[in-house]
This record gives sequence, structure tokens and C-alpha cells, in this order.
Amino acid sequence: MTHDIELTVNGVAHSVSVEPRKTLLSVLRDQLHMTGTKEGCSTGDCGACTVILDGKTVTSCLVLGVEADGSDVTTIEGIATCEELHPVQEAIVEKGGVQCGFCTAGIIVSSVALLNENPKPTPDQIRRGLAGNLCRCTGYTKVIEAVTDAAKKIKKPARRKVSKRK
Amino acid sequence: MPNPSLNSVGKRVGRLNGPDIVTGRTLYADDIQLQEMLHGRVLRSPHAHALIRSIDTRKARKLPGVVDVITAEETDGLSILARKEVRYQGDKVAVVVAENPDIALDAVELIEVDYQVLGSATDPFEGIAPNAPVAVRGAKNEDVRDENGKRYRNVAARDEIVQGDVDAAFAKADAVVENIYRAPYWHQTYMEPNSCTAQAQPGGRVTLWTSCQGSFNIRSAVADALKIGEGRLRVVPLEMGGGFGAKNRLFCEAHAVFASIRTGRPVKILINREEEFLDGHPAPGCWVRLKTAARKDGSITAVEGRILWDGGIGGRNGNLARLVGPYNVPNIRLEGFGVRTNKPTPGAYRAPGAPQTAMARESNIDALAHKLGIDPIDIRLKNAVRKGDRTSGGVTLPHDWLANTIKAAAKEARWGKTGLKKNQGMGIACGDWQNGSGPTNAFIALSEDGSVQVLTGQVDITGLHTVMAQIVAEVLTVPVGKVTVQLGDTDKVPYTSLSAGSKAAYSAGTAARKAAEGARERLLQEAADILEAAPADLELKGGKVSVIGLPSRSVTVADVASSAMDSNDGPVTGQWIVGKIPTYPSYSVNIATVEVDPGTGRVHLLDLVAAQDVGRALNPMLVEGQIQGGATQSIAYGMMEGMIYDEEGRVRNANLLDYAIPTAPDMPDIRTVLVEEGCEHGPYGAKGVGEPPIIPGAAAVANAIYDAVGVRVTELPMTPERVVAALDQARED
Repeated sequence: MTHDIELTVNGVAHSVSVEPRKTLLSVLRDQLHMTGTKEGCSTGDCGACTVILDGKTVTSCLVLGVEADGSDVTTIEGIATCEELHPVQEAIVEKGGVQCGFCTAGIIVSSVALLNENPKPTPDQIRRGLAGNLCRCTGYTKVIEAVTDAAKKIKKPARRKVSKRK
Repeated sequence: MPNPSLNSVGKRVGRLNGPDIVTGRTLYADDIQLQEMLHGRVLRSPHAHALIRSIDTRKARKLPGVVDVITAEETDGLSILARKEVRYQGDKVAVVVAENPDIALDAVELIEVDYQVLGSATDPFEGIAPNAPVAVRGAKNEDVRDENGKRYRNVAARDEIVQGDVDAAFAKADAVVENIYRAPYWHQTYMEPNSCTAQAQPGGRVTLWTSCQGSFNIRSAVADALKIGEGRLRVVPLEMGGGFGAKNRLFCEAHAVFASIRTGRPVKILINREEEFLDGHPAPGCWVRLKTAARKDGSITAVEGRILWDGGIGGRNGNLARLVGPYNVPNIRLEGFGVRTNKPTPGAYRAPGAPQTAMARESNIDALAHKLGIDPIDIRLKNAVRKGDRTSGGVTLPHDWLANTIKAAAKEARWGKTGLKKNQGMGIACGDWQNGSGPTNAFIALSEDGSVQVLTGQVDITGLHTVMAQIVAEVLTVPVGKVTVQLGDTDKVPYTSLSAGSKAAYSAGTAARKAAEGARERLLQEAADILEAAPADLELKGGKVSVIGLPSRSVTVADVASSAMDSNDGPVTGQWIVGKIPTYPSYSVNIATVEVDPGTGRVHLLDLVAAQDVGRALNPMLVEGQIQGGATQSIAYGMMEGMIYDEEGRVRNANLLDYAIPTAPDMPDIRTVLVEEGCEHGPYGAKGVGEPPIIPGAAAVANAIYDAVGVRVTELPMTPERVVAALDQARED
């Protein structure tokens, strides 16, 4: 038994037939083949599967696919444009805020959502904004530094091409 | 300090594969999706110790979508599934293979197993008692006796260090400290649960995609488990979502390969987070009794004690010399047991065994300092291994690396100069680790446009490939952005050892440098033909080869590489295979500042300085990141983490809510200090940096708590309950 749902992911409309027990995370990864969003725990504790659902961050492992019917979803694949990294993505690379990279998609999605709501957060506000995203590699110091740096740059149109690197 | 003569090495270069990671393009093991792929799921023992009376798989086999159910019966004598005895909660009993993961899960729940529950041993101290339950039936144990001549149970391994006259040293000591310390099983808690996919091919070969720290290690382990030749397997390592030592070993790779061979279809097995906790390879816990003696001047004269490693079903032992650590101690009597317990055999976790032993050693040294009225920094400087001393690893030290690292940490933390308030305290602890080295390789080829392609078998765990690119760029004088590094699988590169033990950048960095130097030589030879000059008269600088003294007679690297394609000697390439390289120890020093709430026992970490003797930082940003991450893990072991087993040997916190690891608000910014005094054998003077950061953090917090409120907490993690208990105890005393 499946349900037909419609949802918009990163600006593109999709019709998907989903089993009622499938999570939004599973719909994204297994049915739409967008594997940038990661599964770290499946209990909503690690934040690796964070996506923006109708403007708010959610752990997509705790949202059923059928609940997302009619929703607008932004995943890590929708943060950069084809040509340009988002300033948060750029800063995470340049400031060393990525190590193993498995939590990184969730951290970036949460950071982008935070900066959308609060463009000039203090380091403490960034720490609270990322409290739902576990990272085991970095100890967070360089992640906070990167998001702080991105917040400063976001005012300026200083975006860089995806292919370019230093 | 950056070396001004270097252009790429020593620079803060962002991860070259960073743009792929931050856009979600990088493939991790669970992102592998193959046509016709099946999904495997493991049925695990709910009991810590039991005999299997019978297994009934009939209902599971009948479920539509189930393709195969594998029990020990089906494995033809292999030891990949429990046959008669399950030895820990999570021990593998059966594998279901189905069309999708949900059917596999449903089918696992339909398998009926009749268990006869047995007594279990889950604590090493209780587990050695002569009347303790036997942890693993029929396992070979050591004959070790207690003072009454009764044989200890479950002691799988025993070792000792005996040196000097310990009793005389204690008799003459001015201060003696004796404490009992305990530490629990500690999970690496990488964010990526293990996933693997196997695809059997016609002709008998099998390709395996997995998240691992060394593809060849996995290949050997699967070949051993399935009793097949290594040549039948091709292991493709993917970007690894954290391992910290755990992914040196197998999870379900052998089961996926076996299932794929049986079904003829690709089989993926994803371990979920709960399974990671039940059947991963966490760090061992331990029970330690440690007695340390010193003279008035602070010199440590003797160490005596016993450590019982909580060794899981394998009864794994540890490195006993770590209880002495990086200090000169003339008289030693230590005994170590590897105790079998009903838990999975522990694996490596960053500097295996070092944080646990540092907790005991560094707490005792701190207590001696307070007893003798000596500054905790000074007592460590007094006893630190120095230039000319021989370490327990057999190395004669060329520098005062540890002492200089202690001084650097003290300076950064403004030791003794900060105004601490009531209930605030500072604590210091040290750690040492001799990095490994092992077989590795680098193969370099230049393209017509002067870009450089590097192939290696060494898995990138935290930026290794970026560092290799920096080294190659340095030697060939091209921008780092012109260099790409690819990870080769076991069919494409020669045997490569694990990325573990702080050896990857040390060994593969050396391979990259030597391979690049080979390519450089070939480049000069080819340029000599073009420029009609002797190779010895040429110099390579800024991506150009020119005649020395005649800069106008030059040719670009790209032109030389392009021209070489048609030359008699062929394309410009270089390669290097490393076997082993001599290694040195490196040292880490943490100074923690805490505030303790005596009412609740809550410890708040206000500041952490992490200094490390790194030789030379090939990429200071990546090195700082590793230090900050390792220190955070150690602090977490000190304050919040540990696996909890109940009386029946079941894990009570097998999820990320109950096994809490630090979140961003839990941590202050960690201040790092890189001590760069070079090292003879590492590339550009580098030492391995991955292990040392995790060693001293927990002990530094313990010593800071003592400084703050005058009590010594001796059991990890130092939770509010334990801090309050220690304060209550102190009031009673």
C-alpha cells in the first residue's frame, strides 16, 4: 500500500509514491536519489539528516514521507547554486570546519537556516543554533569560526565558483 | 611557525575535496546504490551470554521479499555467526537478505531462537573473581592465582614490568599516593554508522565497497573470515565518515560478501546506530590500582600497581608501560591483565589505552605535587623524559620535546597568573604517543597542461590527500590547485597499511615527497633536451624550468610534460613505495580550567589549552582541527561519556540521546599551541598528529576539579553524581 505525495525539493516539483512507514529522509535518499542528506542515528539525535521543511529545520529521519505531502524542502543539494558555493559552504572549507564530512550537510543546512533568521548571530547564538547537530571530529571550534566568518561575508556578493579552489 | 622558503607546505589550505563534501556530492559507503541490490540485516543476541538451543527460520523464509536467511548452519564451518553460544548482547546469530531493508527487518523479527541464558561477566574487577561466571566457554585463559592460591577467572592475557627495587623506593619515599581508578567502555561515536555493499561477479570475484581505514586490512580480514584468497576480493574504500580506529576492523563486510556469493546479487548491510553501540569496536574500560612514590624534590622514584583491562570476549590486554608514561621512573612493578568480559572485543580508539592510563598516572602525579607542595607544572618538568633519555618505545630523544610542550602550554594558559574565583580550578596533564609507519605509496603523473595526478592507496581520514597535494605541489613548484589526489582500491595500488596510529601523513607524506622528487628529476631530464642544457644546469622554480643564470631560457612544466608524451622516455611520472620509516614519540599537554558547582556537582569547562609537539605542521589549520577534535573527545570521556552495562550485561545507553556526546554549546573554543621543533624522519620534519590530542584531556579535567574544590574524582566519566559523592566523602573524612 502506498500513498502518492507531491513535494518540492530544491525548487523542483516531484510526485512520489511512498509507503506509509517511509521517512522523508528515505524518500530523499532512496527514491529521489539525493544522497547528500545523511542518516547518522535515525532517532533525531544527531542532526546529520537536517533539511529545511517549509522554512524550518527538521531532522528528516523523524518526518514521515506522507507528512511532507505538499511541502517545500531544501536539502544540502539546494544550498549552492550550480556555479557558486553558499558563503557558509565556502567558509566551512576555508576555515577547516570539515573533517570527515558526514555531519557537514546537516551543519550547513542548520547554519544557513540560522543566518536566514538571524544574519548577525553572536558565537553563542551560533553554538545554540547548532546544538542539534553533532560533530565528532572538530570539537566545533572551527565550525563556529566558519559560520561567524560566513555571516560577515553574506552581506557582500563575494561568492565563488564551485569549481574554483585554493 | 611557517617556513618562509616553502610555498605550499605549512600553509592553511582548505580541504581539496571540500567543495564536493559541502555540496553533498561526496559518496559515502551508504550512498552506493546498485541495480538489483538486496539488503541484509543481522539478527543479534538479546542476551549477554546464552546457549542457543534452536533457531527456527521458517516464518522468516516465508515472508514475501525474503531472498535468503543465513545461520551458522548455512556457513559451512565458518565462524561468522554464533553456532552454539552467544557471548555478548549484539552477537550475530543470523542474517536475513531481502528485497528492501524494511522486509529484512520484519523477517529478522520472525526468526525464533530458543536461548538458555548463562551468567555473564561484565566488569573486569568482578570478572576475575575465582567464582565469577565464565565469560566465554572453552576459551584459553592464563593460570593466574590470587593471594590464597585460587585461580582467577577469565584472565586471557597477563604481562608485567619489573624494574629496580620498588619496595626500597617506597620505604624511602617522602610522599606516596595510591588510588583506584575506573573507566568504562568508550565508543568512538563517528557520525557515519558502518555500511558496506558486496557484489559477486561471474568467475568468482567479489567487489566490496565499504567505509574503512584501510582497504587492504579489510580485504585480509574478509579473506580470513571466509577462508578465500585475497585475490578474489576487490575492496573499494569510500570517503570515511569518521572512524577513530574502529573502522580498522570488520563490521558486516564478511557477511555481505558471503550473502552476495550465495544470492548472486549485490547485498548492502547498513549497521544502525543501536547496532554500532552493541556490536562496534569501542575502546576498553579498565580498573587500575596505582601507587606512586616521590622524594621531597619532586622526583618520582617508584610506580607500582595493577591494571585490569575490560577486554571483551577477546580478553584484550593493553600497553602496560603507559602507566609510567613519558617520565623517568627508576623503580617499577606493574602487572596487567586482559580480562574476558561479555562485551564485544574492544578495538582501537585514537591512542588506544592512553587516555585511560593517563587518567590514573597524571592524577597520581598531581596528588604527589599537592602533597609535596610543588607546582604541578614543575613536578612534570622535573620528571619529563629529556634529550638523551631513552623512551619505553626504545627511542633516544634528540630534543626536550615534552618539557618544551609543557612550557608552551603553561605560557598560553597563563598558568599561575590568572585570577581564579572560588570553585574554579586549573589542571594540567601530559600524554605521549610514538606514531607508526607502514607500507604505503604514491604514484604521480603529469598531464599536458601541467596538472598533476596523484594516486595512493592511503585512505584520507582528515585531510591526508590535501597534505599530499601540498607536498607534491611544493616539490614540483606548481599551485596546490593543480594537484589532484585519488584513492586507489585494492585492484589498483599495491598493499597499503591502515590510516591509523598517526602514521598516514608521516608515511604517505614521505611517499608523496619521494615520488614528486622522482617526477622532478624526470622533468629536468626532459627539459634538458628541450633547452639543450645539462640537467645539472637547470632549476625548477615557480612552475618553470630554466637554465641557471639565464632565466630567459626557460620552459614551463606544462610544456615539458606535454613534450614528454612523445619523447623516448615517455610521460613525466614518479612513484615511491614506503615500507617502514623510523619514528619518534610526540607529546601533548592539556591545561583545563573548570568551575565546579559544589551543590550539584556540575563541572563547567571554562577554557582548554591544548599544546602539541607536532614536529612541523604540514597544514596548521588541519593540525589544529585534529587537536581540537581529539581534545574534545577526551574531555567528553572525562565528563560525560561511557557505555553503561546493566547486571545482565545489556547496554543501557545504546543511542545518541542516552550516550550523549558534546554538542556545540557544551564546548568552549579550544586554544591550540603547535610546538614545531622538527623531527628527523618525517616529511618536512612532521610527526604524526592524530593520536596525542586525545590522551590528556580527561586527566586535565580531573586535576582541575581537584584544584577547584579539593576532591579527587577517580572514576570516569566525572559526572555530577560522582563529583557530589566525592565532596560528601571529603566532608565525612
